[in-house]
Amino acid sequence: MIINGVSIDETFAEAFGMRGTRLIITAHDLTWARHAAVALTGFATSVIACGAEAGIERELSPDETPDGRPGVSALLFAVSSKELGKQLERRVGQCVLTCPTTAVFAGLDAPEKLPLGKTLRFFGDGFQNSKVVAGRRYWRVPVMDGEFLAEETTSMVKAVGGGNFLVLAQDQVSALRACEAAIGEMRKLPNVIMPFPGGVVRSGSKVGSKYKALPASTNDAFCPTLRGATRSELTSDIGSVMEIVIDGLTDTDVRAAMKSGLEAVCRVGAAGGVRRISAGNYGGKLGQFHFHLREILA
Amino acid sequence: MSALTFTLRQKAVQRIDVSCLTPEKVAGMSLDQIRTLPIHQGNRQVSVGELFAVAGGVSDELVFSGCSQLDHVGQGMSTGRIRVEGDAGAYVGTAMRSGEIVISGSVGIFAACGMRGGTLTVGGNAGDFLGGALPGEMRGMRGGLVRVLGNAGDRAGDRMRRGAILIGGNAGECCASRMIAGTIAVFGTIGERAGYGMTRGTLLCATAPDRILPTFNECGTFELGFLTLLFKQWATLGAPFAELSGRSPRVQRLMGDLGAGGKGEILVLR
Repeated sequence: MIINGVSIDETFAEAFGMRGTRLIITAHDLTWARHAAVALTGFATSVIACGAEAGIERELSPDETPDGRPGVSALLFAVSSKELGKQLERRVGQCVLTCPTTAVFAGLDAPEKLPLGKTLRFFGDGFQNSKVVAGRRYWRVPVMDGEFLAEETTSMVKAVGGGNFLVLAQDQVSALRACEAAIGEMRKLPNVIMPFPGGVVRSGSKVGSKYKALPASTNDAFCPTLRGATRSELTSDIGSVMEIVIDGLTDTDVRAAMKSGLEAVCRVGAAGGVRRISAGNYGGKLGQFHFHLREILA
Repeated sequence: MSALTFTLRQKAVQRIDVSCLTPEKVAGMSLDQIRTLPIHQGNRQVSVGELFAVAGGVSDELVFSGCSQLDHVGQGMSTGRIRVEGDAGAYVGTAMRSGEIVISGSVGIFAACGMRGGTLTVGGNAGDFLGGALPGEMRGMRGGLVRVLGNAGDRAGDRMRRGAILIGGNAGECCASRMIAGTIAVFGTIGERAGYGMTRGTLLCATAPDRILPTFNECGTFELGFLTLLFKQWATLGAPFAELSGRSPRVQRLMGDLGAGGKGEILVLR
């Protein structure tokens, strides 16, 4: 399959089941809501070492938030319910509770719950209060700028993490521009995040390493500088490879985001220096979700 | 299906306990069966048919012709709707769990005592101990929403534990006395000794009480985010409650009663 001069590999992205939640963070203005959300979702690129994968989904206008203030919705994913709960408590406690004027609310409604204000309330040292409004409990924690308002729980759902595709281009700038175009389109879609910096990752990994302590190491088959030294997947016209990783609330969401991103890369096309599109997988044996590139683009 | 209506055959001279007439208690009964149900008037047991003309279809909505002698309207009800056209007596909606009671007139003492859920709307005034605790009980109202368009008597929300009481008019003395938690909002004036013995909970006042107990301390004026959520919830409840929707949540906060732990709050809209 060749689209606009870009060769689409007959391969698939292999993704995994994760646990996900959405938080709505509001503040006096969008700047402060964004400060909190950026901190909350910081250092959350990969579950391998960060514990969670997280990102800002979109900005919310006052009429979209529970308390009528500007806000931001963020998605967080982890490998288990326990880990997601732990990450949520740490991240909200350190990054949202601490951020002036913010409040935090559940952004999903599902049967499985995770504590939010339920545990953070203890910061109030006995001065915390709760209010049940329309059947939902909110905790009011006294803080130095007034009160921190946090919904008691947020919902958790089964989610999908690790959808991906690789952009193979003639040089670094071409790969970067193509990925930027893809991220620009993918960020318009709901229920997904691209957790790496700017949504793009340049250090794709393979499982294992020559060093026993490392569970993963550089994906040498896709490193252009190793073309002559390893069993390379790259032809001589490929000078740079970048990857986009997608986490979403459902496989449909991940598929839609991949389609949007792949089409954007194809629009950049060979004229923009893009040569091939591929995807990362582990032979199909580890992940329960397979996203075949050619099927998505068909 | 039309509502099941109970019209008094003659003016009641003694108090009538209508706790036996709730939607779930008459569910599945024919009109004749309902007419033969035992009911207490004063210290006598009579049949429903002797006191009321029963008409309409059997449904989950009951309608009573109003009378201030009708006690225990909707006591313990957990489903359906009861409407009283006119006044009702004491103990309206006590221990109610769910459903809706609408009284177009006024109600007597102890309305919504021990209420756990559902909504009670009173078009007129409410007597003393609205949403309070029955004598001998440690806790008052434990959930649900009470909306009084007129005035409330003394000790509204006494020992209240959860839920919300909205009073469109004035509240009497000792409003929110011994309150444990929950929310009371008074849109008119508020009587003496508001919050007496209050341990936690919120008393929201549209106008500042003339005198505050010396055991309440001023904390300052703040914008409290949870009020926005409450105001939004009340937006569907009609005037004057809905008028707060969209309003700034700026309030003066007083904490007390310091004689009882001091973690309750009186909030005055600013």
